[in-house]
Amino acid sequence: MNYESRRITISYLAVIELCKIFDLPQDAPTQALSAGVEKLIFQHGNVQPSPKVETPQSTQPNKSALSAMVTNFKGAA
Amino acid sequence: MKLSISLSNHNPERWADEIKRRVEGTHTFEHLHPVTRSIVTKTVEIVVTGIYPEGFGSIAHCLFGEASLILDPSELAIALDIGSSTWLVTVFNGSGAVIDRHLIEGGAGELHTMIAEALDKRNDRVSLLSKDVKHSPSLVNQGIIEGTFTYGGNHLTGKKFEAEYSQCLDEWWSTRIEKFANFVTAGNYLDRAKYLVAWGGGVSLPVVDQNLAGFGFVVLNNPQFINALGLKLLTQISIGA
Repeated sequence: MNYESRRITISYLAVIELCKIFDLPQDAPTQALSAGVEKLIFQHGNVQPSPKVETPQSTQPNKSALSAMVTNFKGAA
Repeated sequence: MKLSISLSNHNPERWADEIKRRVEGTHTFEHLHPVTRSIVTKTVEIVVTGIYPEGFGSIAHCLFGEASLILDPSELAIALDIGSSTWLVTVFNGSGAVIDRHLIEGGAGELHTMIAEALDKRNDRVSLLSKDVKHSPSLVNQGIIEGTFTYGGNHLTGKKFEAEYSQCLDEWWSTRIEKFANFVTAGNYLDRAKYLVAWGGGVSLPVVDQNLAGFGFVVLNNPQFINALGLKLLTQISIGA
């Protein structure tokens, strides 16, 4: 593995997008742009699977109705 | 370890005592340890807290567990349980009492058998190589569950059975849904019912789910587990958990 740093070029449209993402002025210095790209890379590396929308189990079992179901059935049996 | 469970059966009046005699008590079983492969012995003491009519757990779950159906004690709902060997129609009220029930023979297992027999009768070139082979309903089921509609896992001999599925399903579905319709209309339940609800593993079969939705059935998630979830609730109530 070669650990030398590499120089890359990103397109004009990508720069506009990058500036929007990090709220940078269009004429931001290249260091700021490269910092933005680096940040995106690290963010991407740490992407967690989007949190599952848990359906809240807000409804508690209706214990008295369940208990009546059991009692009524056993009474009938 | 002590395990309290509730069970359900098509005919608890007839079978409850026998089931309880066989299930309740101390059971010892052995299995191989997944890593060391040594034999592990486990003992479990089973207590049966109740034996209810089939579907009783599903009713408990829908009305009072997850509360997916909102039903007053005086209102009715009609449940269709498509199991492996039967279609069971249950009319129940908002208190969870069973008002009427009707058993229709031939559940999803019957459909698998029909498809397996249709495959036996195929006479294309590949099938002629193995014409005396009896097709297995369980391999048909596997192809349906996997969504491949392919019989057998081998790509050389694996046969697609979409055509058989579609043809057998039509016959299987139409004869039974007609019996269902006859029962619910003759008993004057259909007009009085606030809900049609479907559960049991057969409910999630391809096309069946769409047919049911088309008729206005409420089809719940994980239909194969609803009865078990409700029986768990009834067990918890019985042991005061």
